[in-house]
Order: sequence, then C-alpha cells, then structure tokens
Amino acid sequence: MSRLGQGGLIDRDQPLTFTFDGRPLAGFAGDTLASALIANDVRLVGRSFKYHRPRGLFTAGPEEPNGLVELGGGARRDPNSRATTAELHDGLVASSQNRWPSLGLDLLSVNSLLAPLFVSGFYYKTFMWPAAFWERLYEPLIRRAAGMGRASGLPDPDAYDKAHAFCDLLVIGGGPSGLAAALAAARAGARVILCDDDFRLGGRLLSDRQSVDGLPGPDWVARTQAELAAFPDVRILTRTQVFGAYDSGVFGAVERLADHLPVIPEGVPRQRLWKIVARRSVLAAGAVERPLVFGGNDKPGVMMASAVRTYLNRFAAAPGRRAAVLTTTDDGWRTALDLQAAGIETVAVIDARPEAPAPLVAAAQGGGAQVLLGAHITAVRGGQGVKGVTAAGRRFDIDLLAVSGGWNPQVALSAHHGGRPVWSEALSSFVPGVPPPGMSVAGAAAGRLTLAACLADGADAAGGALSELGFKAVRPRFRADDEPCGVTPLWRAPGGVGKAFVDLQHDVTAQDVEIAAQEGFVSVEHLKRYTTLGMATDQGKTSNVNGHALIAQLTGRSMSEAGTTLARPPHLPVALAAFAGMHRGAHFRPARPTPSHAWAEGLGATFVDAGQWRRAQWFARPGETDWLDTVRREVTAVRTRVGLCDVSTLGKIDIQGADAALFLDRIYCNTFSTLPVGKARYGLMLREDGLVLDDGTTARLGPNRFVMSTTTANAARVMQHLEYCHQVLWPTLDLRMASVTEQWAQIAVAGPLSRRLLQTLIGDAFDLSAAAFPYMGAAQFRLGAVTVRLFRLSFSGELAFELAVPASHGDALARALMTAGADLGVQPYGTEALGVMRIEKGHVGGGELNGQTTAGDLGLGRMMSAKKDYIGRDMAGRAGLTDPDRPSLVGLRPVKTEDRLRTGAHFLDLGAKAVAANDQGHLTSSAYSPTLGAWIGLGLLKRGLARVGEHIRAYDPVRGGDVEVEVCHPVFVDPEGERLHA
Amino acid sequence: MLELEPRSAFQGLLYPQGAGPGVSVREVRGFALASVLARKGADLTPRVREIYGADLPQGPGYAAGAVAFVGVGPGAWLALGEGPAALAGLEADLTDLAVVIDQSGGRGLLRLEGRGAADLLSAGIFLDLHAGAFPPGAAASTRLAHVSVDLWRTGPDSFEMLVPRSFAPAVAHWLSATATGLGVALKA
Repeated sequence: MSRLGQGGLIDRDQPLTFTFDGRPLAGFAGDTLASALIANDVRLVGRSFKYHRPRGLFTAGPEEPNGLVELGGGARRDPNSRATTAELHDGLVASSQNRWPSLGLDLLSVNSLLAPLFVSGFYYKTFMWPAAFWERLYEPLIRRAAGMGRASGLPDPDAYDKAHAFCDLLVIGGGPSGLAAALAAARAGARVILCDDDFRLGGRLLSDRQSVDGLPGPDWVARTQAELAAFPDVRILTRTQVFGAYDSGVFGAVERLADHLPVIPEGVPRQRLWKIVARRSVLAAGAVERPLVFGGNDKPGVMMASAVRTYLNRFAAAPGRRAAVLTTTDDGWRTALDLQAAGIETVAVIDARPEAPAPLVAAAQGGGAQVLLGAHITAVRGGQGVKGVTAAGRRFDIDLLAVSGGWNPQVALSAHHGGRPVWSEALSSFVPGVPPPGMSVAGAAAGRLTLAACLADGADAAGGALSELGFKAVRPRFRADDEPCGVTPLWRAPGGVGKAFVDLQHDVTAQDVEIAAQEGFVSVEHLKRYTTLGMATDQGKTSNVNGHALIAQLTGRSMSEAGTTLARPPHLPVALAAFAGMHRGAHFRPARPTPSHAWAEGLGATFVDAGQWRRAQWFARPGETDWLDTVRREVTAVRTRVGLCDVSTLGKIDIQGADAALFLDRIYCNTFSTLPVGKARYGLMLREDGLVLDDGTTARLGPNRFVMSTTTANAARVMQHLEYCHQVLWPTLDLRMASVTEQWAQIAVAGPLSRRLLQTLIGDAFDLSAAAFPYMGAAQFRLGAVTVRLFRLSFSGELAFELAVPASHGDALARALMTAGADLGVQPYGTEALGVMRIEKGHVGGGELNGQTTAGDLGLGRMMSAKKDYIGRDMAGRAGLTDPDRPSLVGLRPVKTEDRLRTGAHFLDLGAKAVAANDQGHLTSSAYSPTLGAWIGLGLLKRGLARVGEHIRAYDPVRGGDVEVEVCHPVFVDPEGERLHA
Repeated sequence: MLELEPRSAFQGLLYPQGAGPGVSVREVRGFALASVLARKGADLTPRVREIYGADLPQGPGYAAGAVAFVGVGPGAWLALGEGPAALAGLEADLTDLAVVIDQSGGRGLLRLEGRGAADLLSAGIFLDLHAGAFPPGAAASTRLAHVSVDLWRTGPDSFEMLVPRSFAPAVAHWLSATATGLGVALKA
C-alpha cells in the first residue's frame, strides 16, 4: 500500500471498494479513481494509442493523456473516461482499454516494432491505394489497432436534464483566483455563479502546502465556501465543467449529478446541461503543467511534478518509493520538498538550468537529495515502469520521476470567439489574447502563477467587472505568499534514448514533429492534422505548446511567429445525450393529442403521428386482424350510414376587421369578398413564386368576420404567412387575427344519415334541412352552455357536417354523437378511411400539395381569379409554370383489377425503357377503394387529363411493382356530387 | 337540452411527487380567456380601466382587475376571468375598440407556488426569472421545452402559466421529470 499514514483530504472513516480490470481494490471517500489506483500501487493503467506502450498516470487533473479507462458496465459503460477526474464510489467498476488480451501482456505492442510505419502522415503514406480499400480494409484495421474505448452499443439507460441560469458574474474555476473573484462579487451584492469541474472547490489550494489569511489552504477554502453559500444569490456548481463561451455572454456547462453515486436514484439525471447567461465572466481556469520532451518520457512512473504534490497532499497517496525530480522551474523544487516532507526518499533534483534559487537548493540537499544543475537525463531504465535514470553520468535507482517544465495557462475559453492566445516571452507561455466580450481572465489562466498574485488578481477582475455593471466594488485582500516561480523553458532535452513523446495520448513523438517540418507541414494547423498532435480526447492540453515550440525551433521561428492552434467549443468532451436532455424516445418532441383523444383511446384506436399531432388512424374491432379490413368497414359505414372523425388538427384562424374580406382576396387566388355571410368557400393560396401553398375552406360568420381553415401540416406556416402579409406587406389594412386551432374541437359527421344524427343531437337548436342549411352553409349558435359552429362541408363526398365546440368540450361531443347515433349505426373512422374517401373523390392532399405544384397542375387553374391581384399571381404566369407538358392531376386505376398500386411508382409509356429520361410523372396517392372494389390512385402525369383513357405503366422498382394502369378522371365516386347536396 | 361536460386541459395529468416543501402545481379550472386585439389606431386603456379596473399593460406584463390582462404582443392581450362567464360582456364592451376572440377552451392554466417555483420554471424557460428581473406583474410569451407558453408572476413565489391544450401532456411530463431531477417535490 502506498497510502500515507496521515493527511490528505480523504475520509478515512468511509472506506470504499472498487475493481480495476476485475481486481478488487480499496479506497476512501474523497479519492479519485486515479488516487485510489496509486494508493493501491497500480502503476500500469493503459496502453498507448498507436504503439500500445505501457502507460501510467501522468497528471492528476482533466488534462490526463494516459489514464483513460472504461467506467461501469453494460449499457452504462463509459469509454475514454479520465481516471484523474472520476470520483471514487463504492462498487465502481473500471477497466483499462486499448489492450489485448491483458494490460500486462499486450500482443499489439508489436506495433512498436512497426514504428517506422506509424510516423506522422502514415495514414496518407501507407494506405493511399487503392481508394476502395479504405472503408473495407484500412479503416477497420487501423481502428482495431489504434485504440479507444468501446461504446456500449446499447441505449443509454440514464436520464439527462437541461437548465438555464442568469447571473451578473460567472466565475469559471474554483481555485484561489476564482474563489477570490466570487467572494468579491458576492460581497458586492451581485448574482454570482461559480463553476468548478472538480467535486471539491479549491484548485491548487487542495494540492499545495500553502496558507491564506493564516489558514491552511483547504481550511481557507472551506471557510470561503461557507461564506459564499450563505449569499442567497450565489450558486456554486461543483462537478460542472464550462465547455464553451458563446455569443452574448451565453456559456455552456455540464454538471455531473450522478457519476459519483453507486446507484443512480430513479429519475435523477446523470448530467445536466446548463445554459448560463452572464453579464460578465471571470475565467479562472488555472494552468496545466508542461511536460518535458526527452527519451523515455512516457514510461509509467514519469509524472508531472504538480500531480505528485496533488497525490501526496490532497489524497495522501504516494506515487513512488524512491523519487527524483527533473525540472526547469523553481516549482519543480517544491515537489522535491513535498516528497521529502511526506517521507519519500528523494535521491536527486536534476535542473536543466545552470542555477536555481539557493534556498531551494539548500532545502532539497537538507532533505537528502543530490542536486544536479545544468544537467539532463540521458536514459530512463525500465520496461513496464521506471526503474532508474541516468543524468550527468550518474545512475539513480528510482521508481518515480517528477517532471516540471513550466505552466501553460488554460486559455481555451478565452479563445472561443477567435481571440488567439499570444506568446509571452516573460512568462514563457501563451496567455489569453482578446477574450470574448465581458470576459476577464484572472490568476494562473492569465499567467499569474503565484498564490498571492492569483488571489489579488481574482478579486481585481471581479471588482473591475462589477464596477462596469454599476456595483459598488468590494475588493477583498488576502494574506498569502508569492512562492518562487522562475522558469526557463526547455523544449527538447538533449541526449536521451528511445522515443521522446510530445503527445502521449496520440503517440506523437518529437521525431514526428521533425518529419512534419521536413515535409513542409510547418503551420501549427498543418502540424496538427499531419501528426494528429493535440487531436485526441485530451485536446492536447499537455502537448500542444511543446509541439508548437518544437516546430517553431525547427523552422527558425519565434513562438509568436509559429503561434498556436485555436480551441473551439466544446473544449472538453461532452456526452451527446446531455444536449438531447429529456427530448428523446417518446419525448423527442411534444406529442399533441386531439381533444377527443381519451374517447378514441377508450375505443381501442390505433394512433398515427401527423406532424406533432397524434390522430386516430383506425378503430379496429375485435376479430379484425388486417388494418385494411378495418378501413374498408369504416369507409363503407360512411358511404352507407354515418361516421364521425375528429378533424380538430386542421389549422383554424379567426380573421376580423373592416378589411378582412379584402385581405382574403389578396391571400387566396380565388375571391372571398363575394362570399355571403353564413357560407363557406374552398380557397387556394399560392406562394409568392406562384406555386400552391395551402388549401382549405374559409367561412364568413359576419360581415367582417371570417374563420379560415388550413391543412394540418401547414397550420403554423399559414399563420406565419398571414402575419407576414399583414405586418409587412399591408400594415395599413384594418384587421386582426388569431390562431384558434387549439380553441375549437371539430368533428366531421359524414354519411347519408348524418343529418338525422345531428338533428337528434341538437334538437330544435338549429334547422338542418337542406333548404335552411344548404351545402357550404356555416353557422354559429348556442347549444346548451356553449357556443358551437356548424359547417356543411364534406371531404368524403357524402352528405356531411363539421360541428365545432370549444376544445374543452370536444371529448364530450364525440361521446354525445356516438350516443345520439347508436340507433343509426354510427361508427368512428380514422385518418386512413378519411384518406381513402378523399382519394375516391379526387381531393388533393399532402401527396399533391407538395410544394412543387401549381393550381393548374392540381386541376384547380380555373380558381385563379383574373379580376383581382393576389399573392403569386404574376409568378404563376411564368412559362415554366404554364407549360401544358407539366405533370398534372389525373386518376389511375389498374387494368387488371386485382393489381395493387403503390404511392411513389413512376409513370412510363407502355414499352418504354425504365430510365429517368422516359419518366412521365408519379403516383402521389393510392388506396384500396371499398366503394369500387379495386385499387385506385391519384398521380401527376405529363399532359394530365389530355391522356384520359391511355394505358401506361406504374413502375415501382423499389418494391418490385410494375402495373399497367389506365388514366382516368380523378373523381372516382359520385362525380356529379349528388350525395354532397342531398 | 344537450349539456356537454367540459374536460380541463390537465385533467388526470398532475400528480404529487416527492417529499419536502417543494412547489405546488395546480390547474385552475373553469376560467374564461380571450384574445383582445386592438383595432387599427384604437386605445383601449381608458375603457379597460373604467370597466375592469385594470391598467392595461403596454408591453409584456400582467395587470389584475375584475378581469386580468396579459400583454402578449403589440396591441394584443389575453383577458382572463374567473369562471366560464367572466368575459361574457367583454366583446360588447370593447367592440368598437378591439376584436375579442374566445380562447377559453384552448389552453390549460397552471398556478405554480413555492420557493422553488422560479428555479423549476427556469430549467425549461430561457428567461431570467429572478425576482429582480421578473417581478410580480412581469409576463412573457415564451417557450418552455419547445412549447409556447404565456407566463406571468403574481407574487414573490407564485406564477401562472397558460399552456396550449394539446401540449398539456408534454408540459406535465416535463414538470414531473424536471422536478425529479432537481429534487423538488410537487404538490398537486
């Protein structure tokens, strides 16, 4: 066990058990998976991407390139999870990935022997021919060899959630700078949101032995957190990563709510996607320590020096027993001192710089370390882990090499609006360029690397932002020390044996960068794509700057000239499910039941989606096994007796005002100003380009009052169109309108007995006789406690009415109609029967109103008024739209009556070859007509009705159909309309 | 005479869940609702104040009176009254000034009350519902998880929200799932 006997921010009273590759292990509450693995002496945690080299934990944070594991099992298996951020919980199951058959013995490590094949650009060089081999051979091969975790392949069992939040100041990062910023803002009375990716606030204060205001770091953090939490308008979100800075102060963040729980309680979301709107923001994301590039720098046991301190101080876990430190910074020396303080033998501090601060040297020597200045590591020994190093000719037997190469400010979010980071020669790092509007960058993220500076900077950044917002700024001051922070960057350590890695996750070496330079890929963007540097899931957080520095050196440019790549959101991986939230499966989008849904459900209806609406498709009776039988029965009921159907989904728009009739004349291609009060008329409206937009009936309920109906599909679009026409085209017209689609439940009562049924229902409230209420009549009257509207409209071609009541009464109306019609044999019918009857009558529907047809194409050209102007009139006159060769509406019936027609079949002349050039049009609607006892169809055929009587082919290669059909008039049933006018 | 029994939009859709103080979500039934759309150039303000004692909001806002008015667009309001007949005289009262269109059957009305009501709603509504930004009397025609709703605040911790009838099941599901996720109890 490498658990230190004391210290650390772990709860030793809460032991936890977990498994890694099936092996049971123990840890404590407060551990990460990584710290628990270290406390259990697990050094080997994964195999590398290309070469399958053994890898150990390298960092202690979200930048981790090596410690990627699969968490959980079954449908919850989460690949490529960072062990360094995974919070340990009881029963956690983790497995290493990218190894076969086992982590210790990985047969694909043979890839290392093929290393010359895997140099930068190997995709392009090795697998370039033949192209067809890519998908079938190369890509699967590469994917198997070049490892990533495996997705579960199963539906995600967890719930996801979304939320919004607004604040005056968003503080990103809960380290010293972020806490100081949040405190300053909270005390000023601002609304503050503080987000931290970690499950514990504090940042480096949890990992370093430093004090603030006389309190040890963690104690000061606890006190500050308690003060913040007491403000009503401060929201602290831990386990929350801000992944993107978007326009207008909008930020995206993901909160992990359940990944740390052994069992997710029912209904608790795994993650919540936050959309945060902040008037100002402070980016206090800290900095990531920079590795050094030298031969053998990827062996397990080589670890970032700051991570060593985190494991020691925060987790009381010793990453080794005998250690050395390789550094080019003062900060590395602190790791040596912390190792010594933790009782870990520290044999050497190897500083590439010729000098180091004397107090640090003295302290390290006092702790028993040899000090080598101006020295480099020339060899790293060990196969599956570091066994020793050679530096300045001396051999050291060690199992831990702490590496310190300086710090890279976490500038990603500052660059999300395109502000390129700029190189600071003084700090030897990229610092934020122009951040997004309203954002200031504070602390280590801005290149201020000492504790006192971070605290002051955080408070100042918040104070500045709040002054801009008009708050009386409070700038708290903190007592803390500025630790030594000198650094001399070293981009490529001289000497050394073996591969020197730049990007550990993607196995990009210093040599790969050299090859890229030789081959002309010298822009950092080209370097990235040619070598895949920084393209792994860690997004190059530990590797980009080193890689860019190498290419700068190799091409004789300064860092400023070479520049760096730009981060785009999201700069950390975000589960796609978090973006979907609860909108998936049955809740992908809201489903809209009709007013009579409960009634239809009670009758065992089968429902169908019509846009968002859910409509009754048919009402099968016991014993009916084929839906065609059900539909046949429903059609027959309407044609011989009476049926009813909920048609509430049709769009309804109430239009009123002195200019309402004039408005409708301009909207529709036919005339409405001549429509008498108490009558309805079928109308056709065109788009500005002359093609048909929508159709429907509009009734005149008063001199200045109309109610329009639209198709179900176009209800919203037509409303939008009318609003546009009124507000933009003709704002001077005196009229107002409102959608009343939701307000009215409308039920069609159709069939020869429909009048008798309705009269039974409404009694003497209204006279339904043909003389009093003829075809296309419209009326509004009181029925009991409610106002109802009655229209004598027919989609089925039978004597029919549509009765509308407030939607709250729609369910009751359906039930009342069924009761009133029981003696008449009334039956409910669904959208299928409705569709069959409209095809029998040759009414156009969705297949024909397809956005590509003109009024003429639909056989409705005579509706286009020549006496007035209307939308689409001019453009409808274009030669292309009036070409007599255009496909136009016809009816079709199979020559052999037993043949089935299928919508989508294309028309060909008999004997013509089935090629696109011979295409004559297509079948837009088809149905089995119980009335005719055969399949019938509507279609758009070149020269249309001029070809009535002709025989053609309905050719359907997709479903193997090839049927000889006769072109006929599109009205199959009651062409004279006698039933309609009964 | 035929009497049809009304069915409220959220009938059978709201259930209490969870423990603790939480948010109470109740459906208001039997209200009267109408679109009030000013005719060209008409000013309704004096007449509405005189007859209904409400200061007609100019812009998004909610004003209580014998009838409550919610501003939902330029020259457009929703009039809301308690009881099915509450707006019986509205059309006649305003006929020269406004077009009045009955909407009583087309919406469900929810009343949400409790300390967590604003947080619960803002999970689905991309608006700042902090009392400082959205005080009592504030109103918005907005979206809640892809559903168009009209929302207004009636008190420090109370809101009312109109939901199109056909979207009531989707909103009820959203409320239930979101409250569970936030750990907020729902009281029906």
